[in-house]
Amino acid sequence: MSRLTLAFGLALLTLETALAVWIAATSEQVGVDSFGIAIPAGVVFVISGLVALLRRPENRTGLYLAAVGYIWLLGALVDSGDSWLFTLGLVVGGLVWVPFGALVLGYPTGRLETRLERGLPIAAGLLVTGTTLIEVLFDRTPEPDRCETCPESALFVADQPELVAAARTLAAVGSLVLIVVVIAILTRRWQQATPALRRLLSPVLGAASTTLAAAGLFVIADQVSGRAAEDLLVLFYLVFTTVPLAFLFGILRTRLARSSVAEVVMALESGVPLRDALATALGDPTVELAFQLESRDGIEGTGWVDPQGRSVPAPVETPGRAVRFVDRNSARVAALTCDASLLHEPELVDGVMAAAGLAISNERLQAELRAEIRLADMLTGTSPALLTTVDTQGRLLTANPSAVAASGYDDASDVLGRFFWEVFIADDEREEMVARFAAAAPDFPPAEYENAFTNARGEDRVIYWRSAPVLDEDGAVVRLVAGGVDITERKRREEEARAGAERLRAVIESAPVAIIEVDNAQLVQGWNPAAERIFGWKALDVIGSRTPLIPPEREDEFREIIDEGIGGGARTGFETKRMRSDGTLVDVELSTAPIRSADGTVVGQMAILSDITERNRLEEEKERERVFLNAIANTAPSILCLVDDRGIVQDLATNLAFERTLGYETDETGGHVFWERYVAPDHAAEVRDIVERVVAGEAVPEHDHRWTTRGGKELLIAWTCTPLPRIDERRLFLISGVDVTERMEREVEVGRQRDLLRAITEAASSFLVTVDPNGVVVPQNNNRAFLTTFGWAEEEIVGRSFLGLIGREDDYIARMAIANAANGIPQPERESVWLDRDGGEHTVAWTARHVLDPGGRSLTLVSGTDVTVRRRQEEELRASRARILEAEDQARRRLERNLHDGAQQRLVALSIALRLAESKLGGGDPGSAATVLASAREELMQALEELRELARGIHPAVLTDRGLEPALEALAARTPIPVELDVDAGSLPQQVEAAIYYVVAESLTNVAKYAQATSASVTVERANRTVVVEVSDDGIGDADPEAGTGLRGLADRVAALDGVLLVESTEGQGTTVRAEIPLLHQEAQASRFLPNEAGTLVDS
Amino acid sequence: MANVTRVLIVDDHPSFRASARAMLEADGFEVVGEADDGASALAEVARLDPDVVLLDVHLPDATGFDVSKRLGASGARPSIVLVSTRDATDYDDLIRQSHARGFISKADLSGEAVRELLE
Repeated sequence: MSRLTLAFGLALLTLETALAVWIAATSEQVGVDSFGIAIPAGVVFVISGLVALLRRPENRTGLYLAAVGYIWLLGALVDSGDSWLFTLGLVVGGLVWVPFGALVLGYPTGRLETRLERGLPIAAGLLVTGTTLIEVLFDRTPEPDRCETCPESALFVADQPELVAAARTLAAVGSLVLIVVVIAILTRRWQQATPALRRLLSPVLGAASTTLAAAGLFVIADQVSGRAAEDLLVLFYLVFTTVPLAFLFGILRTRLARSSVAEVVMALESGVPLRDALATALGDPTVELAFQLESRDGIEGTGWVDPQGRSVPAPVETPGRAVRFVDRNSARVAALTCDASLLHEPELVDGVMAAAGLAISNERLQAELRAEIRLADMLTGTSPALLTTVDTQGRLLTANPSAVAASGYDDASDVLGRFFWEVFIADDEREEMVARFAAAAPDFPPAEYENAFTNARGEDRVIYWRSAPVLDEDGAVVRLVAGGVDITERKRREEEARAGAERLRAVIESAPVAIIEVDNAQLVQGWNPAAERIFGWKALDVIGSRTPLIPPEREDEFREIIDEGIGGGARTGFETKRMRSDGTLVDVELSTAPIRSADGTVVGQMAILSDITERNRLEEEKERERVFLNAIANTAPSILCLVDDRGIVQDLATNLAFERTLGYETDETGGHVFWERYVAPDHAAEVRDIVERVVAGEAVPEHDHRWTTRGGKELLIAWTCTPLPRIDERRLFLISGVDVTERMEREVEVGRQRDLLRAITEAASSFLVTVDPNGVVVPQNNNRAFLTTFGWAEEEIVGRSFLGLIGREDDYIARMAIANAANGIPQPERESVWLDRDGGEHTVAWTARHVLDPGGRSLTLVSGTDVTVRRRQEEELRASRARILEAEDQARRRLERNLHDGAQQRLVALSIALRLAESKLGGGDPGSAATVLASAREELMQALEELRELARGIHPAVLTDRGLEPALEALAARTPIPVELDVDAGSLPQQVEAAIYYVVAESLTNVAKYAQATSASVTVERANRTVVVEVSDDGIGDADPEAGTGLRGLADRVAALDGVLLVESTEGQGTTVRAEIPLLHQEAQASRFLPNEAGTLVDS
Repeated sequence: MANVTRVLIVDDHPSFRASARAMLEADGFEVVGEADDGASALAEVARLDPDVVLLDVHLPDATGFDVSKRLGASGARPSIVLVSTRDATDYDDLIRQSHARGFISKADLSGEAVRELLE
C-alpha cells in the first residue's frame, strides 16, 4: 500500500470520525453507547484494516476490515436531527453487512472461494438495504423504538404499516437464515481444518461467530420487544468491536512468533529431539523432517533419509502439505514437511528454521551415519557369504544370517558365544582346528581353508573360509573376522558333472545310433560301437584318420556340414547316404552339433547317424497304405468324414462321396463343427448328442438324420459315428453315412401301396384269410368281410387252424389245397362248406394262393365268396325249369292224345268212309254211296273244327294276329259268365303278353270249371316298369294253388320272367289270381332263363 | 260161302266203330258186337265167340297187346287183328310177340285186308 493511499485512508477516517462525533454531540437522542462503543468500534475496524493492508497488501482481509469501519461510521448519520442525513444513515448503514460477510467468509486468505461464499454477503446487503428502503418509503418514522424524537423519513411516500411490518418480519427471518448459514459454513471449516489452521482460525472465527450470534439474538429480541433489543445492542457493540481485534491478531500473529523461536532454542538445548522441538514451536504435530545425503554408492533411491537414516521418498508438496527446504552453502540439506496453513505464517517458520539451523546440520550428519551403518548391516545381513567375528579365544561374537543358516541353527543366539569349531568344524577335524587356532595366536595372520562338516540340521556343508585379524590402536589383535563361502553346491555340481560325463560315455557306447566325433581337420576322434556295427569300420581303424564314410559324390556336402559346424551351426534330421566298409551305401539321418572348448571356440563336430533304411521302407509302406486307404475312401459309396472330439471336421478329412453328396470342394469342408454346417438345423442337437456320446465312449447304433447340402437341400442319411485309434494323441472319430433319401421315399411309396391294399382288402366283399403253411390263421390280413360273416374277432381267430372252419367232408380237400398253394401250385376254385363261429354253414367258393408277407414269410392267402344264396337260387331255377319241361311234356302228351283221339280218328273214319263210298259206287249203289259221302263230309267238318281248336290251344293265334287286348276279349267271350275286362298296358314284350294271356286263360278256365261264380273281372295295368295282371271272381273261393298243375305251371311261367304269382282265395270270398311281371331286361332275362323248347313253344 | 265170318270190333272211338262196321258189313263180314275197352272186349269175346276180334291197340284201360295176350292165355278161339291209327312199324316187335294174327293201320282197313290176314 502506498503512503498516499494510507494517508487518504487516515484522512477519510478522521473526517468520518469527526462527522460522527459532531452528530453525536449535536443529537438529542444519542445515548452513551454511541460515544463509548459504536464510534470506537468503527475506528478500530478502519485502523485494523489499514494495518492489515500495510502488512499483507495481497490479502483482502484488510480491505474488508477497513470497509466495515468506514460504512459503520457513516451509519452514525442516523443520529442526526436532519431528516435527509437520518435517512441516508439508515440506508447506507445496512450495507455494512456486505464487507463484514466477505471478511468472515474469506478469512484467512481473503478470497471468497465458492459461489455461496460470494453470494451470502450480497444477499445480506440486499436484504437489509431493501428492508430499510421500504421502511423509509412507507413509514414516516422508521425508527420509533430507538428514538422518540428521531426525524421523519426524507423519502416518505405513503404510510403502509402492513407492508412495513411484513418487510421487517421478512428481514428478520432472512437475517436469521443467513446467520445460521454463515455459522454453519464456519463450523464446517473449523472441523475440516488441520490443527495448525485451527490455531490460526480460532480467534477470528470465535469472534465472528459470537458477533453473528449476538446479531441473531438482537434480531429475535427486536421482534419480541424493542426494549430488550435496546439492551442487547450494547452487548452487540462490544462483541462487534472484538472482531477487528481478532482479525488483527490473526494477521499479525507473526509478531508474536519470536517467542516460538526462543522456545525452539531452549527445547533443543534441553535435549528435546529436533523434530519434536520443531513441531511444538510451529504448533504442528504433523511436521516431518528429511535430510538429503550426498550422493553415495549403496544408498539407494533419492538420497533422502529420515532422522533415523532410513531411506524415504523425496519430499514433495501435496494438497494440505507444504515443504520448506533448507539449503546450506547452496546445497540442499534438509526439508521440512508441514501443514500448508503454516505458509500463512512465514515469519514463524523462517524464525524457527533459522533457530534450528545448527541442530538441523547436526541431525543430518547423524542421519547420514545411521544410513551408512544401516547399509553395512544390510550388506552383512543379505550377503550370501558367511560372515562371522570371533574373539581371540575362538568364541563367536557375531554371525550373519548366511552363517547362521549354514550352521543349521535357527537363530543367531544359538551360536553366539560358542566356539567357532563347535559350530562349523566336523568332529574329526575339530582338534586339528583348535591346534591350528592356538598356533596362529597371537598374531592370527590371514588364513584360508576348506572344511566339510555336517551341520546342526544334519546337512552336509562344504565351506571355504578366509580369516583376518582386527587390530586395535596399539596393533593388538582384538578379534578375528572369518568369512566363508558355502561351496557345497559347487562341489555337488562338480561331482554331478563327473558322473554326467560318465553317463554320457555309457550312453554313447550303448546308443543304437552311430555317434562319431570329428575334429576341425576332419579327423575322427570318437567312434562308438553302433558306428562300428552300422558301417563295418572298427574304431581302431578310423580314429585319427579321415572319416571313410563319405561317398565320393557327397564330398561337397560333407565339407559344407563341417564348415557350418566350425561356424557354430548344427544340423538336425538331415537325410543323406554314407558308405559302409564293404562299399555299399546306407541311408542315414544325420544330426550334428559343434563341440566347443572351454573358451567357446568350436573344436570339432559331434555327429549322430541313424540307419533309416528300414524306416524309409516302413514310411514308403505307410504312404502306399495311406494312398490305398484314400483310394478306398474316395471310391466308397459311403459319406465319410473325420471329426475331432469337439465335432470339428478335420482339414482334408472328407471323402469324395461326402463332397459330391453335400456339394463342397475338398479344401473347404474342414474346420467347421459338423452338426452346425452339415446337419439340418432341427436335427443338429440330436446329431451333436450322438457324437458327444460316442466321444464319451458310448457305442451308438446307426441313426437316420437329415443332413443339408451346400445348396440347402436336405438329405436323409443313415449314419454312425465311431472312434478311431488315437493318432499323435489326437482323438478322431469317423462319421460314416449313406444317403437313404430315395430308399425312404420308396418305403413311403410302398407304405402307401400297402395302406391302399389294406383298404381294398378291408372293403372287399370276398373273404380273405391268411394262414401259415400249417393252416394256422396269422394276424393282420383277415378282412372285415370274413370276420363279420363268420362272427370272429381278429384276436380270436388268429392262431386257430383254418381247417377247423371247414366242414368235415371238405377237410381233406382244403388241407391239400392249402398245402399245394403254399408250394406255389395254382388252385382251382372249389366250393366247400365253411362253419361260422356258431356252427352255421356257409357255402363258399374259394381258392388259395401262395403269398409272401412283407417280411418274406411264406403264407397262403385263402379268398372265398359266400355262394349259399346263389346256390339256393340256382336250385330253385333248376326246379322251375324242370317243372316247365314237365308242363310242356304234359302239353305235348295232351296234344298227341287230342290229335289221336280227335282229328286223327275223324280222318281215319273219313278215309274208311271214302273207301266204303268208292266200293258202293263200284258196286252200283250210288244212293248209299251218296249217304256215305254225306256223312264223310260231316266227319271232315268235325275234324277241321277239332284241328282249329287244337291249334288255338297250342298258341292263341288271335294274340299273334291282333294283340293282347282282342285275345283277352276272345277269352272273355268264350267264358260262360260275364267277364269285365280292363286292359291298359300298352305295348309289351311278346313273352310277357303270352304269360298274361295264359294267366288269364287258365284263371278264367278255373273260374268256369270250379268257382261257381256269377261274374269275373280281368285287369291288366302297368305300374313302375311292372305289369300287373289280376283275375278275380265272386265265386266260392277256397282254391288250392298247389292242387293242380295249372296254377303251378303259371307260377313257373311267371317266375321265368322274374315275376311272382299270388293266389288269394278265401272260402266264400272269391278268388284272386295276381301276377306281377317286371319289365326290366326282359329280352336278356328270357334268353338266359328260358330253355329253347319254351321258345319254339311260343313261336309256333 | 256157307259160313259168314263173325267179327267183334273193340275200339274206344264210336266213329271208328261205326265206320269199321259199315266197311266190314259191306265187304261181307258179320259184325256181331262192339266193345269200347279191354275189359268189355274180354267179356264180349266170351259171350259172342266171334271168329275175328278187331282190336285197337290204344284202349282206355289197357293196350291191345295186353288184351290179345289175355285172350290167348284163356285159350279163346278167335283170330285177333290189331288196328291202330299208327303205322305197323311203331309196334314191330310187340305185334310179332303177341298172339295176334296181324296188324292193320286203321287207314288201310278193308274187308279184303282182314281176309288176307285170315288166309
